[in-house]
Amino acid sequence: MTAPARTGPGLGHVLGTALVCLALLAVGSWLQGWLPGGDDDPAADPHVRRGAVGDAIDLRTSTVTVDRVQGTTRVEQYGAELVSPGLWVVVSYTVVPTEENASITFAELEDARGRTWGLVGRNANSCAESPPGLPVHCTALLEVPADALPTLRLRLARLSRDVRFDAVAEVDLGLGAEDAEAFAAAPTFAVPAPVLGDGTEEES
Amino acid sequence: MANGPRLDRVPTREPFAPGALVRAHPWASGGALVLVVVLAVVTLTGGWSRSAPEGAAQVAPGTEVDAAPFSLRLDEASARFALGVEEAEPGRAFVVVEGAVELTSPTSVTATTLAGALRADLTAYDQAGSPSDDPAPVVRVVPDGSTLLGLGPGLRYDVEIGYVVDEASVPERLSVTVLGHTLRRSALDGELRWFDATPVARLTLDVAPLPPTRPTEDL
Amino acid sequence: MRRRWLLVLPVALVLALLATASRLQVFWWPEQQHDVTTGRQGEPVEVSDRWEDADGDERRRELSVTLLEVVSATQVEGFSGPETLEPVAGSAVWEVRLRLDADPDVPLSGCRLSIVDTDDREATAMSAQLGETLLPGPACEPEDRAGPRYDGTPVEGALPRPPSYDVSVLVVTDDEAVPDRVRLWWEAPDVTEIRLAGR
Repeated sequence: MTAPARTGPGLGHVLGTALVCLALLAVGSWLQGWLPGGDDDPAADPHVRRGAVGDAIDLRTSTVTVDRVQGTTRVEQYGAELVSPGLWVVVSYTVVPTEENASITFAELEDARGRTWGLVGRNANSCAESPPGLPVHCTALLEVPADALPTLRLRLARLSRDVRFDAVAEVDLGLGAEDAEAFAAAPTFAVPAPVLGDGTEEES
Repeated sequence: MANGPRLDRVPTREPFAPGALVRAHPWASGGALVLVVVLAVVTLTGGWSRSAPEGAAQVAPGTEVDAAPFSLRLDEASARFALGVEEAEPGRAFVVVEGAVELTSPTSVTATTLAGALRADLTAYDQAGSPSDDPAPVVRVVPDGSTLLGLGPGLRYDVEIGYVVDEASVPERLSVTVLGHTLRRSALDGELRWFDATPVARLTLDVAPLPPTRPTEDL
Repeated sequence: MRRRWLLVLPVALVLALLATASRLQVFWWPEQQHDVTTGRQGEPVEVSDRWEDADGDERRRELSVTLLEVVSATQVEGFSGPETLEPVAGSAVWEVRLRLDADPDVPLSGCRLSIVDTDDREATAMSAQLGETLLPGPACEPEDRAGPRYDGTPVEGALPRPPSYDVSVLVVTDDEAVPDRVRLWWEAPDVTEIRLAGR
């Protein structure tokens, strides 16, 4: 035998090993795609509590009530006027924290077609932290196309960056196509700063 | 012992000797190495799908372009000293493209996604003030002059898309490439985002020249 | 007997649970205020508080805290002197008066304070707009006499902090809260909890 270099395993052995490795990797990545991923964790889904305008909805850390839904094409915030190509939906709501200081920082609108409008761009949520038992009156304003109005639902939750494991209030805003006309003719809405305390908002 | 017949060995596994293997099968090893490198590069750059299946079509200004997740139209371009309430710094000017943009995907996106849909063929200053060949523009909503930091679905905004350039290097013509994207999970963090920029349309706009004097100089 | 290995199974289960419990330590336990120093109103409470310096090293500060009183606040320090606090329906504002004894070299900025009421609800001191009044956030150092920053550098223009001083922190609660204890903390896990006299 004159094969001094053949001290390692044969080529067939190496190729076989490589084949088995590749097969295992393929099976692994197939399994990875098939198993639920980090984002599909059903236990992490937010706990949705549904209600209507005027209902007090228990969010564990606070109780929220949507008081009033208004709409317009123009809002004024921080001295600047914002004109929507659609409509501004302006939701006044009240938060009463339960055991600790709390606030609402997540707001999102969704229509029946599954379109969602979050707090990006010019949309805003004007709310403040409040101690337990003391109501804080807040305002969420989001612009949507007029055709979304009849099926709009508002979702409110404690943390804008993460609603996993947390309670989310879902409120049917009860708007109709006829509201679109009224909203289009409404005057400029000046966004109020959040107000702490029992007092009802002064009518503007 | 190293040259002994293989069957003599009681432990059937031999120690793995990569050096010996490479020496014995230089072509096979080289081929395997090339294969691994090719696979790694392909995986890192986004897989086998073609990045530009159709190529970008040249369209006329004012044409509605479908570039997921947007539907947009670019009408005309002009050079200006002011964009909304913002005035250009001394020695600088804006190249402003007027048009309209609408989000066609069902979830909101930020201005970064909108900036990724446009590539203007000019050197401009980005928001940090350093020159860039692919700068992110400032997008302003026409009726109120507010900055468009994000878009929700179904809303059509009339916009002014502004690039900050040197006053001396305002071009006469501006070519803009409109890029479409695909919504998919990031291979790194699993987050759903718009990736895989694909040119879907190219258009060339005549740039209306700057006014002869800077408005602030008159004051 | 192979059956004896069945006995190992519960042990393995416990070991597996213990091994996965590292997440408690990584994500949860250090952020909890589990190291509680307790005391009573009027008595100095000796506190040894851990904090992390700019290099990430753990340091300790020794101080003594005395809860002097918790009373209804009537005025607040505004830009131009004291302003009267107008009551806001449903709310109450408490003034928590503390005496602190600490080495002037010890950084004490960024304290947090809360009132726990008799229903175990915790109202944390915060900067807030209450009616017409802007309430300041909590501060545990005398104004203009702040101690060093956390990197050890002094605050420009500040006189040295006295070794013993009183501070007031305003806390908003609802009008039904009856204060039971006051909690004071900087970084988790240390917290000082002082029960009000007569509770």
